[in-house]
Amino acid sequence: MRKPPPLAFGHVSILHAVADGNRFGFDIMDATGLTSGTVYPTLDKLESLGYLASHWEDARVARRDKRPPRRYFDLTPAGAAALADALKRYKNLKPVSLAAWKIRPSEA
Amino acid sequence: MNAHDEPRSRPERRRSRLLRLLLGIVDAGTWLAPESRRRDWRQQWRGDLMHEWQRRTAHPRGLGDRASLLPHAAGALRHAFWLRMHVRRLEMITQDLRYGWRLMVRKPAFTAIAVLTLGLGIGANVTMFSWIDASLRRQMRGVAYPERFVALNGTTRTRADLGFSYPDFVDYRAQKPDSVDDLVAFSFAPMNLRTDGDPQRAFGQLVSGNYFGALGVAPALGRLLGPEDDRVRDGGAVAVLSHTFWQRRFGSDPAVVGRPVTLNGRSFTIIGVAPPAFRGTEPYLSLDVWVPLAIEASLIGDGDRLGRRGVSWLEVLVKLKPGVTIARAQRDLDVVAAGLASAYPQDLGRGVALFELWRAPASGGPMVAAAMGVQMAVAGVVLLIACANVANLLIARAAGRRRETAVRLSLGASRRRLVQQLLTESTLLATAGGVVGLGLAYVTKDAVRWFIPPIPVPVVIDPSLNGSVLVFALIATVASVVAFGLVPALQGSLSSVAAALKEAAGTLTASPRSGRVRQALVIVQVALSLMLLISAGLFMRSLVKAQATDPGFSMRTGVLASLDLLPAGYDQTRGSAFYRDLLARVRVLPGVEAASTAAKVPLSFGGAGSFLVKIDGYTPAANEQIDVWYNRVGSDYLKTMGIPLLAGREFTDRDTPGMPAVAIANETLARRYFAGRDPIGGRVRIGTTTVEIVGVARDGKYQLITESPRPFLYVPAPQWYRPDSVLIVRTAGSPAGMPARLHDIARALDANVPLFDVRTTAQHLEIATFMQRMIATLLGAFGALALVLATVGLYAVIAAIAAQRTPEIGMRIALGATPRDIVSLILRQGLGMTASGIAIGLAGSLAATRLFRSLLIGVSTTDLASFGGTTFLLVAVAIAAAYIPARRAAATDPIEALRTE
Repeated sequence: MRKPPPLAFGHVSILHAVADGNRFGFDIMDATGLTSGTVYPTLDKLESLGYLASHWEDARVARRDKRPPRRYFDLTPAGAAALADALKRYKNLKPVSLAAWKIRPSEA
Repeated sequence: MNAHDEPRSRPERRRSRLLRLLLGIVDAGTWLAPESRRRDWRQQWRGDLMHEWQRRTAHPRGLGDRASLLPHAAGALRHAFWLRMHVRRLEMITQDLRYGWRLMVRKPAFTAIAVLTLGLGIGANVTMFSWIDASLRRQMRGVAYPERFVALNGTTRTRADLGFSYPDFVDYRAQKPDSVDDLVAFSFAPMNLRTDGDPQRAFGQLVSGNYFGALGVAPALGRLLGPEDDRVRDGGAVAVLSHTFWQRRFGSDPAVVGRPVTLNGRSFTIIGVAPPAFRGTEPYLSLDVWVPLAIEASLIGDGDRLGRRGVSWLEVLVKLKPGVTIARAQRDLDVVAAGLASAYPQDLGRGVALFELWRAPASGGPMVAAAMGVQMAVAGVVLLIACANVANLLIARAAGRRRETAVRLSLGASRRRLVQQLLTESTLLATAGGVVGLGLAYVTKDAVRWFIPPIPVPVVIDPSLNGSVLVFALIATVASVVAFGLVPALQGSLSSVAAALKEAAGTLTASPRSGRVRQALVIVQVALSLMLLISAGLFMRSLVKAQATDPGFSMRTGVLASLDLLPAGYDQTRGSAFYRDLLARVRVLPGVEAASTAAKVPLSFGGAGSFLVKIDGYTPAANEQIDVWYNRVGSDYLKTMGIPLLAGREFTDRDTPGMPAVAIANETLARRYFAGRDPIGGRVRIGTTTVEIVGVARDGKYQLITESPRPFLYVPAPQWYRPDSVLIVRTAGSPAGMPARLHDIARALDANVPLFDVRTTAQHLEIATFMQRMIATLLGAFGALALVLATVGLYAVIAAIAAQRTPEIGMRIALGATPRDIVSLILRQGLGMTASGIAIGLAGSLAATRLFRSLLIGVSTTDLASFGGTTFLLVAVAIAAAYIPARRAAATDPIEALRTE
């Protein structure tokens, strides 16, 4: 089978956030700094790609907290492999000196 | 969570209002989410928002912290919209595809007919396109950056198809503007090539030293020509072989580099072999050998052309810098041309024009483009017929699915949704048709060789199903979906719910609207196929007439062979002696009735030579020019060709340069310019030479089998010497074995003079009718295809109409109609459509056939046999197509038919 194309950076950072233990939409938003309008569709997309699996929180826990159950996400083995692959790619980027590009501290 | 139990303070009330607002946004957005995901989406957002709310309430950082959840709720709407755009569409397409696939499998006969029909139509177009594609990219195979090369033609006020002299080429290169990367020059050169055995004809190019470098061609073996080869005028002549020639002639021997080869009697050293993909830069030709332009003088022996600015004999290609447009390079080169025109008198009034390679006038671009346009148009008509056919089948099927459609509409499906589903089904069919078409094109693409004229040069057009052909196939497929799928889809979705649900499975009357559309489609098909058939008929009749036309000579068994003494270094005296010896030896061979030579054999491709003459005793009208075609022929020419001599004598071996100049006139010349006088002894002035007419020959066809009689002169070859000529040998019976004996004789006379383009008279005569044969074949094939498609269409529509009318027919039978009545009822309907189609087709043909009047031989554009014959054929086929469903309808069991009512 053909290898799927490399993931975009936003997708990688969301997979990374899930792998880091952030399993709910809002936690992932906090961890990645992305907006809800980006995070939720991307979670669905990654799920349809088979990189994430989702299920509903135990109804008893939700009832105890007087709120509807939440949907939370887990990494699938394919997702873990894709994330490892992507992280390797980013790690392979050799350090470059950006001084010459005159970046102000706030942009760095 | 004590806050809920205590009496609410104002800030608390505000807080709960904010929460209600957040959840309200989610509730309000619910409709945005696609149905299938609505519940999950709502629950996910309510769950997450509530949880976050509670988290922020437990660690309060002010109300603003919680108010910042509002933009997130807006994100929920974006999420819902995203789901609608992505999930829903994906689900629908998969669903439609699955449904369409099930339909295709469930009705295998329908599917097979539709797919095959589309396959034939698409296949015909892809085949034609692959030929055109191969012809257009022919010239630049194996070249790096082919898209950057354009043709540079020389122009005068009235022409744009001129070549360049060598000094001009050198100047253009030296003054090349910034927009031009480089210029290369070359000239086509047929040569006699000899290694150790027999000499043979080879086709090559003289090329400028930068040729291979600028084209980006790398050697397969050894080295290619380089700039240093421009300086070698004499001695150390080198040659590069083409890959195919190296394989064919040298058995791919890697030791060939450094070996000598004799070209036109002069020794060259082979320095390398070009890569397999590269075949030179002559349109359509596959070349054998390349040699530097610098050795031109010693190879061609026509005097040194390299130094003469007035002789335009080079073709020039321009390699543009990346990203440069033709218009810009044209402007830049105009400046150079203007400079040269003012600097050299020979270049006065000369300009330049850049053309894309395929349409450069100097290499026949406009003619080829016109021929290709016709091919594509004919193939397009076939695809149109195919699409009309499938559209009809789909409408028929849609009629059977009206209840399904109505039910779906009443259950809330939108019309857009229905159209989308019907189009998905059409796309499935078209895709299958496209695949079948590609398969057909793969099989038929090599048929292009039937359409290459049998001329004595190595023409190569090798179509392949490459990227652009595949893209074309895709476009043809998509276009056919639009053509055949859109109308049925729109029509299918237009049925009114109430009417359709009320309708029982069958009714006494068919839906009038779909009936009309379908009949119109059939009529169009019949009309288009009749037009193709009539055109094909005209050309076939024309071919038969051409083959029956008397070409003016009676030789039917014999051999023709070309030879050229120039490369072997003969002058006129030795050359004339060679031809005399050759004819003397050939004439005594067993089985030879007569033999002669001629500069040109009648009915060859290529133009005829002509003289402007003055005739003693004939006063031309004002502005009248006497333009006479001529041929240089050897002794016994008329006897050999079997052209009757009406008066006087033939040329003999005594008509040599020392003797009085003589000529033989044809009937037309004698009658037109010697009215009432005896042409024998008459004098014709050709330039400064005056020739005496010694004989009159019967008229014949000289260039084209279609031409009308025209004045013609034969002059004796020894008095009008040229080193090249065609040896004509008339044999008593079959010419088998004769070519080998002729080769032996030529070799015995001079091993350096090869016979080439050896062919029998029968093969030669095929050339004469080649054009008619080619067009008749192409149109015949497409006409037959169109007839089959139209027949299938007619049959399908009549069968469907008959099936829809089953209850009505059952009623008629129950009321006493005989099977004959029923058959004629159905036949009448079929023939009505056919008649309308034929009427339109006949009118269209009358208009269309005028366009190719000049290509028809002895057949008028309104030829009764062609028009009548094809119309009769179409009517017969239509009756057959209608008769089968008519019989089936007549066999209807009235009880069965009425029970379904």
